[in-house]
Amino acid sequence: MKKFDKDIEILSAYVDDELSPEEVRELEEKISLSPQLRKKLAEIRRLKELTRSSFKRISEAPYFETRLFAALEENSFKRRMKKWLPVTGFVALTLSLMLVLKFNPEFLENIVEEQKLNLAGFYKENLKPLLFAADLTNEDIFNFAFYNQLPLDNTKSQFLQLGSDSSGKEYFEIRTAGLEKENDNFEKFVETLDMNDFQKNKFDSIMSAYAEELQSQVLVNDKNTVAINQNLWNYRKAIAADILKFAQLSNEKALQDVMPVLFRFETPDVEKMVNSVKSVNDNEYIFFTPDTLFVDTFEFDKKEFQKDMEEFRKDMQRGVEDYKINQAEMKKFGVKLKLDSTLAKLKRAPKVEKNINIFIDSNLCRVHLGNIVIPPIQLPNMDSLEAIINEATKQVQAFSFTIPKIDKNMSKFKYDVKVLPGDSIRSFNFDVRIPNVDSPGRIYMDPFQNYNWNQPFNQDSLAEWFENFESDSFFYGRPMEIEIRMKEFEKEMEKFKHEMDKLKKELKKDSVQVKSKKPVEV
Amino acid sequence: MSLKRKKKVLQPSPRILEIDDDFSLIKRFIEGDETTFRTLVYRHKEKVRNIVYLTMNYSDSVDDIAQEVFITVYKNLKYFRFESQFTTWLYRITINKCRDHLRKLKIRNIFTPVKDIEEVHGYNHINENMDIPDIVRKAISKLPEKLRIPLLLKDIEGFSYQEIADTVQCEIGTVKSRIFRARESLRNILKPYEGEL
Repeated sequence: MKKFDKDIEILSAYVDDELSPEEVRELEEKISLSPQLRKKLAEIRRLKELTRSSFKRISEAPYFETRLFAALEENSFKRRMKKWLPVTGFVALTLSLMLVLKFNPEFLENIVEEQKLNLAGFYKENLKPLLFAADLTNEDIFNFAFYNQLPLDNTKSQFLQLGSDSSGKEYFEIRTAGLEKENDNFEKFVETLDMNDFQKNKFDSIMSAYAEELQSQVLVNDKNTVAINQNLWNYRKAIAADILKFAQLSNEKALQDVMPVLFRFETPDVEKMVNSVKSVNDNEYIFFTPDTLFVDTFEFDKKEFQKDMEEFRKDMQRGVEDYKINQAEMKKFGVKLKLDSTLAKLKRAPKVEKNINIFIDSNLCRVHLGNIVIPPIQLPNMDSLEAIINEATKQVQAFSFTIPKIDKNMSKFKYDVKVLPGDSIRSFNFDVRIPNVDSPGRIYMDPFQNYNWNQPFNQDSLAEWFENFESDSFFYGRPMEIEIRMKEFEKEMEKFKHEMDKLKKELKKDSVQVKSKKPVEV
Repeated sequence: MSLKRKKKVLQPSPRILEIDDDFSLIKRFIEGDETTFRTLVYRHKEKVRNIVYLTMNYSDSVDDIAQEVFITVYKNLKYFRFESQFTTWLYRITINKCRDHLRKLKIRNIFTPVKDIEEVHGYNHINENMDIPDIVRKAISKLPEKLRIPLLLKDIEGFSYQEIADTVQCEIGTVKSRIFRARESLRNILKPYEGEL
């Protein structure tokens, strides 16, 4: 059967005229001998004929070429466009940019400005008062008035320090180290005034009122932005004046002990000044951010914030859980700037305000305000009042000398001096060996009044102390009487020092002589 | 002077013969003379359309497929290697295009109800009222693609086995076998109509 199929396949090729002459001859021989093959051949021929006759040629399409070339044209246009699209796009962009710049030359500047605004907007979001984050105490307000320092978070690890340079131009700095705890200047001040309960309450209310006022002066947010109101410098003066005025009214005598004799505040002047500071339209803020530094207006809604604070206080009272949440919320607003790395790029950052100089150290970032104008307070006797405030600030700073408590049997103590106002970098450490000192107060008033000179002492360390002694800074701001006595004493000590030097030299000579002697034979 | 010129015009130049050749047209196309493509289209469009018509079994999309064939040729003509006849290359493209369409059609039919397919194409049923060519066409349309295409290329288009082998890209023996099998199948399909045929 298979062989027959093979023959039929060859028969099919025979009908198609696809066999070689030899194959044709062989097949024709087979066909002549086989009626079956002849029948099959006829069948195949019939099928072939049927197939051929069943299909008519397809009619011509008159628009075939037209359509084809239209499609090709479209196709080639697309391809050309694809090829030239980048170049065309670039040229079109350049041309359109040229046109835009021709008719609107400020186009690019506007874009840059818009970007600046966007950046400014980003950093202006969610600003909350510093009080919210740092929870300012009376001491913080006091330190702000006289030491120009405000803590930036509730852990008091970073501070905002205000100041002015030698040319009188203001600066501010954000620094890691603030006043040291042992200074306790505020406590000393309160102690000195010896206030009664009524006065204490009044003082507290003044301080808390300023804490409220300061709310809108320094704003912070969760993006490490510190927005400093330009009126803050004036506020500091006002608070200082108000505190001193209060101190003067409360206990003038005690105040005079730590202030110069001629020191006096006129109450109406101070009130006028405070009112003037409060009335300044203070919506200009200096925004200090990790990326940039700029001056912009910002409307802080005090009333809205008061409402929020009221709700916040209610929340605080509700329960411990809520309190914890709020504590976490508050921590978010504590400013934590990395002074070493984060702010380093500020030096290169495009600053909105020109002439702003930035000095970055490992523990502080100082910004000289340059052209930024602190809003002036118009007062007829402003100069004199300002001079008094400045002088008083220095006095209070001098007043805060810290001398640790010294035991009678103690032979050595460390003496930290931080006296120069506005210069927080310089400090001096003295190791003073003074035996038999009754109390630190005596050193302060008359360090050597009760000194028993007949007792043995270490002359070298005493001499060293005198060499390091900076009389100007030490005596600065003391009552005149003490100062005169101290100067007299200093002269005596100079004489004594010379005598001691002479004695020392003589002793050395003696010791040399002893050495030169021959040993005694026993 | 004018006589001389006249003489030149009248004399059949060897260049004209060269122009008639597919290869020279393609060479000129590659050199940048895109007008020669029009000549190629004019020369081969009917053959291409017929192959499409036979292969696709219905004439609705013949011109669309034929156009696709020529667009593909236009895009790839510069890569033509002159190793085979242009027609072999052209018909191979044509058959491949038809196969692509048939494949798409099969996939589409999977998601179409059987009734709809029959209504649209209607080639699977052979009615008693049909005439002989209709019966034969319907019977051929029932053949599988790999048997139908060689059979039609041979019996209708008159291709040689070698040409069919080049076009459908298989061995010549395979073509021979497929055509035989196509005829055997066709005979079986048409058996009920033996008397009428």
